[in-house]
Amino acid sequence: MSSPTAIEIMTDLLFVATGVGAIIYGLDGWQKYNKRELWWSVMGALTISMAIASYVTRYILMLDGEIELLVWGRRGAMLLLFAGWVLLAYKMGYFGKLVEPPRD
Amino acid sequence: MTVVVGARNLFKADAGVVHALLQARYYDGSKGEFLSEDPVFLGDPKQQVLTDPQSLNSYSYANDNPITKSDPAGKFAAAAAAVPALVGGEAISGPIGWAALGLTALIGSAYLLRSRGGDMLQATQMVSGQGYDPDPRPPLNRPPGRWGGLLLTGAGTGFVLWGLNEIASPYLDQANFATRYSMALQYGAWANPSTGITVNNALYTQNVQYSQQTQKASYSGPTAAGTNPQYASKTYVLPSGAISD
Repeated sequence: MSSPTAIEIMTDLLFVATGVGAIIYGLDGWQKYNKRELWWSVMGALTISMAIASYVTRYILMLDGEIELLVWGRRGAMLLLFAGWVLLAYKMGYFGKLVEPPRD
Repeated sequence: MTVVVGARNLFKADAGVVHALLQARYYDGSKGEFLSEDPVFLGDPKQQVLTDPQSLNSYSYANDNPITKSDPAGKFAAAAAAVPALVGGEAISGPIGWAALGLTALIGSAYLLRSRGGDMLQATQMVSGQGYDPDPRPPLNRPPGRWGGLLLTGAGTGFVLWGLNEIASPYLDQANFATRYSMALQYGAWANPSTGITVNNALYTQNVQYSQQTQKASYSGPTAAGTNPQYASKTYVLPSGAISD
């Protein structure tokens, strides 16, 4: 494998920054609203973990060429992460419908 | 000095002691007693139970029996519900009686647990400084806002960039490889059509010696190949298909 390209470095930095922001945002929401807001923090932590794991396996351990399955594993994990963010946005009402806990 | 805290005067600090307001009266948790007398006790003398001397202490909390009784409103102590069930069971000593006892005890325990749970919720709310909320349902979610939107935009942009890179990476790798290939040739490597780049033996040996020399500052031995037994054992054989420039 080659050294990381500019687009990869930008992507990883963006993921880490978003993850840190989401962790803080979730903790803030937990304090001010309810426990469901912690899903922001969960997604933020997963995103940071994914960015770090992706970078380490590619450029520090350089396992991409060694383990072919790793490439597809990374792609699958990234798709799951994306689905998680979409679900979070839906649950938190960013698609126009606020999903609230059931009321009597 | 008395400081009253909160819009609903839920707590007040008096000489460093924080008192919780249990609706009708302030309660001092350090003493386990109220600061003022029971308003029901004083307002209606018929409420005074003379056969229960413990209840005549109008400052006490839940008749000084907080394990089985509670007084969330500061007016009177709620009795434990399982006591009548036990009495009924003693009176009817038969299968039906025991069944009735069991059922009553079950219902009584459920009632007791439920009321204790309510008290615990209230106590938790008061300890955490949120006051007593009669509606135990969780509050509304945070409505969608600009910060959450910013985070979602950041994550979305990251995924778009990642996808673009995933599509482009084979071509980027090829471009990188071409660059490294031409640079390697420029610095004295051999081009091998079957395996890509093959290093120039002499150059490689020099580089190994040089890097070891720089890494190991104390090294002062000979650096030429063949004169140092450390390098003498290393022989580099060119592949058969190597092309010399």
